Amino acid sequence: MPDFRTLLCSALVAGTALGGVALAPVALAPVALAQSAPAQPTVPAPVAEEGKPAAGSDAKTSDHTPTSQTPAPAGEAATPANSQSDATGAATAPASPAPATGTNAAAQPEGADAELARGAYLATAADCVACHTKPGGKPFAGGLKIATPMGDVIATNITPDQQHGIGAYTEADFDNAVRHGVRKDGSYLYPVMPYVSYAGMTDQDVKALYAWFMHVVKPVAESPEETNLSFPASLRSAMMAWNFVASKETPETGDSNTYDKLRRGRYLANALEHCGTCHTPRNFMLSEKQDHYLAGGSLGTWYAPNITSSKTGGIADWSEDDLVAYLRTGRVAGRAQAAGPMAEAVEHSTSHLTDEDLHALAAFILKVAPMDDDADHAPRDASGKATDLPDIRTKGPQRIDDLAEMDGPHIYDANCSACHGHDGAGTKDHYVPSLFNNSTVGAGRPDNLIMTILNGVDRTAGKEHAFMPGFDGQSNVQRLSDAEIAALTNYVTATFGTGDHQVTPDLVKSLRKDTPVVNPLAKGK
Amino acid sequence: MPSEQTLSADVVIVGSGVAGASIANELARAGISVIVLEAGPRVDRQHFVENFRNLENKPSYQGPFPAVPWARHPPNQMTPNDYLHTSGPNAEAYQQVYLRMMGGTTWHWAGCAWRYLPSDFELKTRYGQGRDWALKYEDLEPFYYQAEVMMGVCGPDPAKEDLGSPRKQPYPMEALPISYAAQQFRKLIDEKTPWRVVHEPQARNTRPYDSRPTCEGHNNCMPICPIGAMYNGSYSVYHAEAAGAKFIPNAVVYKIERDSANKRVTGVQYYDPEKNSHRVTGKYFVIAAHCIETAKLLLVSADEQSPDGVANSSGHVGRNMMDHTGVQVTFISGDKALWPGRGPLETNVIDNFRDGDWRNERGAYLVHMVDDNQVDFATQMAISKGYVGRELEEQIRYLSSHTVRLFSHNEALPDPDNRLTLSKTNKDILGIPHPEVYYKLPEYTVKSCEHTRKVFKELIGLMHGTDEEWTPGYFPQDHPSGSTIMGTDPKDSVVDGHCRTHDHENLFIASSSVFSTVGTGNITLTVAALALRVADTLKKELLHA
Repeated sequence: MPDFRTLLCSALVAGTALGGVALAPVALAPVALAQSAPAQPTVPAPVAEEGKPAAGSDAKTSDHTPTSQTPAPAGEAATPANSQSDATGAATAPASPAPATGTNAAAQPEGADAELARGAYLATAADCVACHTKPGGKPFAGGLKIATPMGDVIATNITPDQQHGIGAYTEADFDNAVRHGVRKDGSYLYPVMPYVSYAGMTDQDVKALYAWFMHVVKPVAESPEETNLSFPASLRSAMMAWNFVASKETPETGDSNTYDKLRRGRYLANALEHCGTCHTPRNFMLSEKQDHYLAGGSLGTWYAPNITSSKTGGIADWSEDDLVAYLRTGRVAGRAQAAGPMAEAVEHSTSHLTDEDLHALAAFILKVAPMDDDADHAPRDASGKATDLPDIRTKGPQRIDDLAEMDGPHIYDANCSACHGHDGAGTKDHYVPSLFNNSTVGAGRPDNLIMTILNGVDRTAGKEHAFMPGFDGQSNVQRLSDAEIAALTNYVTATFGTGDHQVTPDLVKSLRKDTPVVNPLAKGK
Repeated sequence: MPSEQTLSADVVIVGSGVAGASIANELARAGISVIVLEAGPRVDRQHFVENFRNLENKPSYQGPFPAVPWARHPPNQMTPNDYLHTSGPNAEAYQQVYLRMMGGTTWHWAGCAWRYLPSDFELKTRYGQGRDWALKYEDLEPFYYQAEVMMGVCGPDPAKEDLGSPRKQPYPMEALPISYAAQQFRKLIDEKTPWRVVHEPQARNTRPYDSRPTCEGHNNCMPICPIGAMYNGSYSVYHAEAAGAKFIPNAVVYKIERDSANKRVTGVQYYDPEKNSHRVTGKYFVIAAHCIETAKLLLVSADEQSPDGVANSSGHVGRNMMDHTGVQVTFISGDKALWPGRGPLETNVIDNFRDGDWRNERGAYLVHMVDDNQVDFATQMAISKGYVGRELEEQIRYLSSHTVRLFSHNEALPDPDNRLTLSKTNKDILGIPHPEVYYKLPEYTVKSCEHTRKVFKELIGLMHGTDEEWTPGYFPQDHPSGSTIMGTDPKDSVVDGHCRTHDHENLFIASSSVFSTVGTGNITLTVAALALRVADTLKKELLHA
């Protein structure tokens, strides 16, 4: 189950931990809102008054937060009024007039081809395919199951099929879904769909995206299963409350292709690539904490690290070229490589961006205000050096049915050293990365190292298919127990990272989603 | 201890190697209940890798796999051997090794995944030698492809390099890049001989496949691929288990029961390691326990109804033992350094001698230029020549980069006198007799080997070779076959063209033991294809019943 799509999972876990208020029905929303007031803690929380939620004020704070932290190119005025009307529009439900059906867009102006090309590029930059296509399925036909503790959210068919997809959507309907989180039937989308980010798209770009979906995407006449969550998330109406308080991007204006570098970078990062969906931590109301923009957050399994310009907790040591290389190829030798959800983002989206856009995106990200990190106190890619395994050779082999659990050095020797080397140096061409100077190993949180050992790496960018097998309970190569993965993680971080993280088998168990390894010593069973 | 309650399944399979596990996988995916009984234990890769690294004798490919006492396998290829006892004029040439454990012998093979040639199935008709199979190449073609997809086989584009076995689809993966040594060898053959060097089809990843990584050329496919880039039966075990098949390790089957008419098999009995007996019943039974153990089990099951063993009304169970017994030479090239050992072990062959009119009098063969690391060999040679110190180091470097190893797979013929029997004197801890094999190399194969020696000598000359070391006698290739031979006539064969025993309508055999002749290519892909065809037959009969 792709973790990238488990946004709701982590969000719901957070909400549940706090008493389940987060997804309570509408009436509770103001209370929840009052408790949240995330962005400006010095300002007294707005008091909820009789069904008049302080949506406007929340929108105000959230809209201002990102721009106040990041260089705001001139001319991008985020007006609270905009946001308020968005929120109101959402609250009072959709029903915008729908004079045209999706199919009459044949009367496109002469720039139709250009518009379609633009739409195609935007769909890639916004990475729609990642969630709306199931493995082996037809593009955009939905069906991908997104695991959450309350059940699976199932991505919908967004091909232009009249009955099964969005063929009957007008441009306004489309806009309502993409930028406001409201379906044609008036129900609210689950925020797994990052409409709070897409809300930042320009009118022109939404139009182009709509045109591309309607004219280029092939209609697929199949309906994925319905999402069927447990209470209270089963009430889509609950999402209305969330929608009120969630901080949204403010729509950009003008022609996004003509922005200067930083404005374009900001637009790519926020309105399209929705970096913050994973990299910005969430408050207990599941909204992104805009005063912690890109400061890192857990997806429940993988951890989207702090990518602010903090010298200790972020990526201040990266150059723009480093970041461009990373987004294009998924790896930078001696620094980092993408796995899990970030590998998917690179594969489906960033590796397809133009050079100019990659530089714009990188330049913007590298200027994001520094936020120190709770767990990372030195650059994640700065630790370790080539270190040989201790001498663990014994004389002669064990019997073949002796499958006793091994200790860290032996597990490393048997499962890792063939590729990463006895000294962790990887291969000369860096196809297999070194384990020192590696942000996954050097991170203060062992989560991503454990996840990589469990799930492996499977990332195609350009001509390179980077692959490391997983070692979980479905592995064809080797199935490691929780205790073995804990021992291995501790050996690797102690040898090549920032020290023994004292990972316990229980932590591994909590991250593992497959069935546990059966004790192979049980004879005859 | 009393037996547990009787287990039962639609299909009961004995053996969890490539044949048994792939049948289990196909059947389980079709919703058919399957129990697989494996004599050996459940195993895993990491312990084998550690065993390999701890082993002093690296070339010993049985070394990392010491057997459990209740499921012995040959410890090595030495004669005498304390498990597989061979005798006869060419006893040493039949000292086969194999593994008894979950996943089977493909834990240590070189991944060579040849299809047989159409002519290999009709040796009698075309050349008047040996026998014809009871099936044709075309019958097996779809299953060859299914096996190639299952195992993940890479191979050359048939339009550029036709290997002689017609294909309806391209190989699932592109061929391996040719190593430096193989490039040098290929160049020599192209320029100075009328022969050719072709890519060897390999069950080895040239891209990530089946959640396993691309081959990195660790060069120790035998005894163990350290990263899982090469196919082995354990993957089919995993897939079959995920589909619902039940695998029972440490279950040593010792008895095949039949009904009163002796027409249908009703169950099998197995010992656990403590020698408690258990019974498993089913509708169909498949023995997929490797050529030697399959014949052994049929013979061990002899009783009053079948005094010569189960499925043995023809008397051919255990007879017609074949292999690719061949010739091997290692020498030092006087030409440029080859630096063998950079890549998988076996990637390229001379295939000019796989078929020809001369097959009416001598066997076909395949020549491997083995691409294995020669440091071990070179070191021994340098030391034996008396070098020490810096000179020793230089010699090791020189010799290991110039060593060439050639060996051949020479075609045997089915000879009833080449026979597996049960040992009267040697028994394992469960009281089950060890296997014994009498072997005399067929004259057809001897002539083939003589031809091979001439070709090898010519190649040594072309490479200005010195220090030739010929393996004495003949070189066993661990491709035992023929012990439950296939044929149309129940009087002189054990199974029919669908691998169903002539004697028992619900008993099938999936193993190289059914081969009627042995061709020249490595046997595993043909074993897998035959097994998948058995699965297809069983699916048709069970799902239409």
